[in-house]
Amino acid sequence: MLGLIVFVTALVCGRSDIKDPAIGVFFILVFLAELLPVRFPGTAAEAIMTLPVALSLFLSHGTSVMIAASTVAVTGAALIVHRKRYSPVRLIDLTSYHASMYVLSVAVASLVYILAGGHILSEGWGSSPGWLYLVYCYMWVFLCTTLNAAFDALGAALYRQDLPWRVVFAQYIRWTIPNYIVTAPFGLLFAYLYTSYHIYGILAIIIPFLVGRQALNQYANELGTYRETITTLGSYMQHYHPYTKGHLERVADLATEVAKELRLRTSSLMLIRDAGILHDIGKVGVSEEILDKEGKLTDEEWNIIRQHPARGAEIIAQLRYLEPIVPWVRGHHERPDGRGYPDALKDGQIPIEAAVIAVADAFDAMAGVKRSYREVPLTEDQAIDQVRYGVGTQFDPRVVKAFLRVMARRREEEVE
Amino acid sequence: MSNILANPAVIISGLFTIVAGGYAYVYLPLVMRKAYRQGLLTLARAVETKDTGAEGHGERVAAYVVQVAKELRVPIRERRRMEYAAFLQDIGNVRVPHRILNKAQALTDEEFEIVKGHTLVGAEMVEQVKFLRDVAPIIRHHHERWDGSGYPDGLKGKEIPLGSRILAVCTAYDSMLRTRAYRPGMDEESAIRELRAGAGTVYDPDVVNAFLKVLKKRMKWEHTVDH
Repeated sequence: MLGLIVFVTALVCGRSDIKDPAIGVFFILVFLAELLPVRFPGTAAEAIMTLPVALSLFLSHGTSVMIAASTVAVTGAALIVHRKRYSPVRLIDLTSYHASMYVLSVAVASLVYILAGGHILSEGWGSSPGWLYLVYCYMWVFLCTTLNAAFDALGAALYRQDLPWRVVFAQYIRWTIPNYIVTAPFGLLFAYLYTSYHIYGILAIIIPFLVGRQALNQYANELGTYRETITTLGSYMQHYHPYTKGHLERVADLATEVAKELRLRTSSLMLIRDAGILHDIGKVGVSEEILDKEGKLTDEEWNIIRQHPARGAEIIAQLRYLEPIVPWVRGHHERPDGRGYPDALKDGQIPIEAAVIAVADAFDAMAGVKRSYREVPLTEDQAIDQVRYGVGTQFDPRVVKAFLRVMARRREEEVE
Repeated sequence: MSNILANPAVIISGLFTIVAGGYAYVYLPLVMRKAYRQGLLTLARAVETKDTGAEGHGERVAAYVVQVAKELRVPIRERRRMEYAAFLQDIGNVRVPHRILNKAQALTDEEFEIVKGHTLVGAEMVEQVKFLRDVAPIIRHHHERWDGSGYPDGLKGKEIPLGSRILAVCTAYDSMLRTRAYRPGMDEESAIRELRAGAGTVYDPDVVNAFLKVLKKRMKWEHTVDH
């Protein structure tokens, strides 16, 4: 409601200025910025370039024009982006909520900017030096993002029971940190080029931006294609047994959850799923008679089985972009007490990701569907007890702790 | 307008455009295609280790397939598909038990059915990968014969995809040279004779011709290297 009032006021105030055709260009830019986020390959991070454009619009045309033009663009883009995901009522509800949050935060930021004595470039460059502009711009960006995060958190506190507001606030702030380091200089540069060269200035910066975005997206796509192909084929290659498919998927999911619980690095989180799927690829060349043998294995057969992590690592070492998971696959049968294979590593030498896969693999093998050499699978509780029993000898204590928390959470979710 | 090109900010963004554009449209596709090819080959090799003596079969056959396809003026995209199919042709062997793959005696009917199944399993596996969907039919039909007596579907003549017809010839040649569990390898001349004899019944005669041309070129090349 408040947002609407500010928007209408801005529209009325800025009415006379909205004749400049360049505003149309800015309008389209905000629109595009919302529709075309820049995704960073290998991470979940995403940059939406709306704020820099809004900042430059503000610097070049003043508060009211910026609010009027960018809000319409942001709202329109939001309607288009989310049109399939929500019902019409919910869509309008959400969009108007987000739009008013946006209006309020940019409006407050802009007002503070002017009250604090910041110059607007449309009035010509003031006497203040360039770095001062940058400081002011940073203040503007900081206010914008913090306010937006605060509004978001407030909304969560009021309407969402399932999401604590602190989480929402933290999430918003964290995703925006790299963004707002870039936003201020980018917005300032943009405004400067615009005021100096008009539309050509805009083109000089928008073309590199679009090409850069294309490069990043292309990289993300190609990498996605590659990884999907390798994991799908690799997964099917291990299905010599109908049992394996479900097992690999479950191990991959569980390993991912445990890794998240352990707060491993993002680069590890992105790859641990692939490692979970591919961890037994070294078994591909091993004969079925040994893998499926019911009775006791001979020493020689054991030796062959014990080679599979090393063989798997050898295979994966030849795959580009998956090099980081080589030691994880090689180490997924190592034990902290040094009695594992193939390298008999000890506590501290085993990569934590390998320890995560070890726990997930062992748990699912025990609790999972029946397979030949263990006719009766354990119940989930029994399997959890077995994992607990292996703390410090077979399994890494940190990983087991995280694993137990994940299992407890899963159980809670099931009850609900 | 003229002085805009002298502005350092504009010069930097121009350079950035060139670098990013080159990266996205030239460098990246090149590198990624190489990695992709290498990835498929690695997985295929892992399966080849199951069948004693099959190591490198897929890679060698793929080299022939690409050359024969070039000889037959197959467009590059299609050629690439054929190359991938050659790498992955026997990936279905993961489900054929060790003891059958490496059996020295003649296979029983039942065992032979299982071996035949590898084309279906392989095609099915490859089909699961969105980006390889067009490769699957080539793998499925690479044991079809020109006269319709092959498996799995008994397709005849041009009903068999061109990729499969090419793959059949190249694979047969490489297999004949190889020593198998049940027979020793042939020398090159007998293998060529065998292919000629099969042209029109087992193999597409045009493909056999193209293959022989490729072999001739290769030999010439080897000859010049020798001297």
